[in-house]
Amino acid sequence: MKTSLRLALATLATALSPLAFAHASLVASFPARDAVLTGSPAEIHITFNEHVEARYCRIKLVSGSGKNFDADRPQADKADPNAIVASVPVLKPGTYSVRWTAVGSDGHKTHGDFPFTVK
Amino acid sequence: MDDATLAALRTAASALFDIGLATMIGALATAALLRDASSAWAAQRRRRCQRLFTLACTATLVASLAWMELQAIALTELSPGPALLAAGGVIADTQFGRAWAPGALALAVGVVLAAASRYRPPPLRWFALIAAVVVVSHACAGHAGANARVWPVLVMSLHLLSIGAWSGAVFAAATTVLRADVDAADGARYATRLSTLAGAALAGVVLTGISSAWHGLGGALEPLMPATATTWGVVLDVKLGLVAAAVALGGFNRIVVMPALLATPGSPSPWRRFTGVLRLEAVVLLAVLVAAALLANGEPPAV
Repeated sequence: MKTSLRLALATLATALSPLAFAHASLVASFPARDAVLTGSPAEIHITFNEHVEARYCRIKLVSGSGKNFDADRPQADKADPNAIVASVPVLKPGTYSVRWTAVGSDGHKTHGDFPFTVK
Repeated sequence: MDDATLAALRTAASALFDIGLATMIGALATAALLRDASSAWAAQRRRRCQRLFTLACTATLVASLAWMELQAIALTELSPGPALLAAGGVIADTQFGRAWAPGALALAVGVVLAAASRYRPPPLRWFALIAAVVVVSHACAGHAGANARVWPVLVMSLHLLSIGAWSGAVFAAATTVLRADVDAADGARYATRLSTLAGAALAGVVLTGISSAWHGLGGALEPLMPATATTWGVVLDVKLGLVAAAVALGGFNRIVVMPALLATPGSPSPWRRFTGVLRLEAVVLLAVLVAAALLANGEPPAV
């Protein structure tokens, strides 16, 4: 199919379903995906593509061996309504996975995860 | 309650809400289309539209309350009983909860007013105001209301209103107005107005939809192009096909059936054809609203 025709169809499809777009998805994070840090991070900071309801968001931290670490309940980033931040305990060297749950402005829950390494 | 069950129930509540709201708007629009008709047929249809509004308002209220209870279950991760008690916190603490509350209150007032109208019918504009509050509340409870800006809320409200006017007016026509013994003169005037309303509403759906989507996607449509690779994309394609079918059916009625109907409004044959096509269009539009609920509660491709 020609690109212009596909674009026209995408435009029409989008016009007929604008309510369905823009569930909260990750835009940036600290630590970044696959980052290798020289020391334990003090906090995890995640920025989404839209306003999130920080009170109902969750961040879990899991080590490479499957051990769960308690991150604090996320707080809203006062400087950015699209971001949440949670402090974490001191982490030993190893690979960790951040598992997040976000609640967008329409109440829709989204999930995701990303790994990082502490050297 | 597991995530899949919650998602299915939330989709069902959304679909019922969308169908109910559209029917409320359609019942009001139909009563307005018949406002100056003087036949006994038209008077009876106006009363039926009032009953349809009552039924739709009640169904929308039930769907709205169920949706909030499901939201409370999903967000608090409690069982239904304790989540019901925690729902007040969800309403107060979240942007969508605070936006939802006026709409739910308006629906409750609508149900009471509609029930009381059996004794003394309030003016139609009171119900129109209730529908408008529900529409704006619904727009604010979604992405359009996220950044407290007026323009996206206004555009989304007009989008919802256009969808409701088109599909709701078709539902009302198919289920309530064009059932039997149509008055020739009033019926012909009503059919012409209905067709004009549906055409204007379709234009409104497309224009406000493009504006909302452009705003929501920041002007970039290319990320949607591989959407057909996902289940969500397939549902979007199905919805697109259904809308095209509804437009084709409405166009067929307007271009092919209506000229014959207006030429001989007293003849039952064109009315049967017009009503048959309209009922098919109503079924297709019902499927469109269900597909819309599936899309709104599904996982779109990352953009």
